[in-house]
Amino acid sequence: MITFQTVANPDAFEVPIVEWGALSPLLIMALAPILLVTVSSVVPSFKKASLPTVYTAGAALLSAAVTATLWSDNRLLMDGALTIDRFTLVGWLIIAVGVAAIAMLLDNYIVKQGYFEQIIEWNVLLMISAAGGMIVVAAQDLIVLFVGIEVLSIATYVLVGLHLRKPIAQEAAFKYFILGAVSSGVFAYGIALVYGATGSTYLSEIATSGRNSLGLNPVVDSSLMLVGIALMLGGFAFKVGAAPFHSWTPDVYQGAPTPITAYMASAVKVAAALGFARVMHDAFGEFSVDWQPLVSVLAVLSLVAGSFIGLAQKNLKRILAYSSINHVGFILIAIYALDEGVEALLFYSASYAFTVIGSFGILMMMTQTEPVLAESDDEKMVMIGANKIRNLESADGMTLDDLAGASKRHPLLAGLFAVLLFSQAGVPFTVGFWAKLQAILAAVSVEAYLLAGFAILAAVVAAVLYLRIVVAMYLKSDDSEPARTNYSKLSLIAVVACVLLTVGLGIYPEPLSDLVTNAGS
Amino acid sequence: MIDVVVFGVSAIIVLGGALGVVLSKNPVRAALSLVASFLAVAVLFVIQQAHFLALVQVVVYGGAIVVLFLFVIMLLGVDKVEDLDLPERSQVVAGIVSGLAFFGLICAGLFVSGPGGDEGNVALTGQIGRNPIDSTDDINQLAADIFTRNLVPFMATALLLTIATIGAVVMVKNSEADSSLPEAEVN
Repeated sequence: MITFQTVANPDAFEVPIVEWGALSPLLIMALAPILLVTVSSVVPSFKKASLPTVYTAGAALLSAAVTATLWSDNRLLMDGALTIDRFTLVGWLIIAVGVAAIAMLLDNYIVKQGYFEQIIEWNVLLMISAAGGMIVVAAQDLIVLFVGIEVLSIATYVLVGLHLRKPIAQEAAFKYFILGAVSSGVFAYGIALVYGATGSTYLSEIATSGRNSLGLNPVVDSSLMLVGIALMLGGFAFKVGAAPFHSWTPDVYQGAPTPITAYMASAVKVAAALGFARVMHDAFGEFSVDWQPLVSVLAVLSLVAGSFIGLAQKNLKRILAYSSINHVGFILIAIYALDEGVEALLFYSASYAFTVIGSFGILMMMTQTEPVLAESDDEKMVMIGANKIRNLESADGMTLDDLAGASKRHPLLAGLFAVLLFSQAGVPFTVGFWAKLQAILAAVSVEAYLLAGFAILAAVVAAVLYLRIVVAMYLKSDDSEPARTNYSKLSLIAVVACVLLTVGLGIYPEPLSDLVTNAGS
Repeated sequence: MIDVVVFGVSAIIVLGGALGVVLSKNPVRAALSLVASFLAVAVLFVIQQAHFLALVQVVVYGGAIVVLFLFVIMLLGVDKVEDLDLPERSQVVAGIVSGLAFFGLICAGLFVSGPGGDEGNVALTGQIGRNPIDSTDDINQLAADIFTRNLVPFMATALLLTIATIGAVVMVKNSEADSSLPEAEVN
């Protein structure tokens, strides 16, 4: 019998106190897009030139600035559903700054590809997706985490497929959507089993779920918990693109619009990796004996697959996709090292994020040249399946051979690209060196020597991967003239900022290492 | 006793319906098997005193979602077997093997005792961490839960719905975008 009754005492509802101040970076990122879509539908003149780009980058930078003001905060928010600590704040900073850079890369990409009508939607989806990422980083509750991951991913599925005239983007979006939906299902199943074993979805309660009414400790005594952890691990491994759950990465990175590829490789991957680390450390810390071997296998496979399979690739976007799988290996090593690795994890995530944004950004800008003569149009026609289509975005099909003479055609961009590639390879005096060093030292400090050995080996092999690109740009030069480039000034600013950070932090890494110290909770 | 009988009958319908979804060659029959499965799940919820969940199960899943499925089947005109690309034999085998492996994994989680022995096994003891909720007024419970403990996910779902709406609109509207650029010549 269903009985409807009013609540006798409404005061019995203990509605959580909303800490507006501490939540403001997240709220800015979530509400700015809603304001944008509302204003631009009422005031059509808002949609002109670079205004939406400036708005998005401004909102993201505001969010980053507010994050920086919260620096010494360390507390639970919203009745313990979210947390704000150094770990969260570094994650928020990476995501917010990343979104600003991506918005600047998107600036005239959208116009050039003929999607000016949709410029508002691209920016809105980007910002809401980033807000989902910020929820993931701060989540202290598995349900919050799951909703955050879905906001992050579903907006990304749409962004990948927004280039509607490009079949390869449609294919990428569909592949990503189907596989992503399955991995979300596996992840949710894992959450359900963990809830079944412990009776809670809060990370802190799972860790100390204590004894149930029979006096048993379900966390320690139940095999249900182990299956739940394994399933959640699989879901996370897919989201960060770790081998053997990586097979979607090259296809999707190649097919997606290049600025969106940069977004997926940076902010999305970092948000998922930080959420991964948080759950594994805070909720399943007692089970580290059980999950550490799995994480180390994922790390080794990612390192090996990323570097070795990457060597066999010709297409530049696919090479960078495999390189991002290789980077995930290092991030997983930092997660493996538990508390010893938290600083390495944050340092690697931060340095990796702006290096990869810069790399994809330059790839995109190299193809943004003045329209050339009609005779070369045929070269832009590519065969995809049975459909002959005009390849609107030539970065998708760019191979190592196409880079020959790039140092003459794009002297500035080639130079910047080389610096970013050296950083990804871990050459000293770039930030990538310190990041790789920290990850390897973290492995050594927990006596995982084999893992550290694999990391060094993979770093060497991956260095070949990056040097091949530099060689293609500088040594295989033909007698090409400087191209008449036609990229947005904003994109150039974003890329130059990435390079300056790479070199600056490479020579003087203290600011970033100060930022991430004491991040372990 | 009556609970056991009701559970047995509904469990058979749940599984039968699920098998029907997978095995029936006709998409419309598959969709209708899904309705049977959903409705039987609703009965299982009622046995557990989760009346509101049962109601939602019938209205949302049994009603709205299956109607959407049927609409799509009819709009795409794939209501006959010959319209479908049935999976290859190797795909079927791979599907069955991975399905059984997953089933084995879940069974292991439920019925194989962990390091703590039988006493720690949730499925054998029926005990989970939190005390069972007094289920006489599950709607009030739900309301209280949404506005207190689960307020954040409830709010975050609003973002999810926003991107779903914007995403759907932009992907449909996009198709007639800027005709000044060359269209893809499909086929």
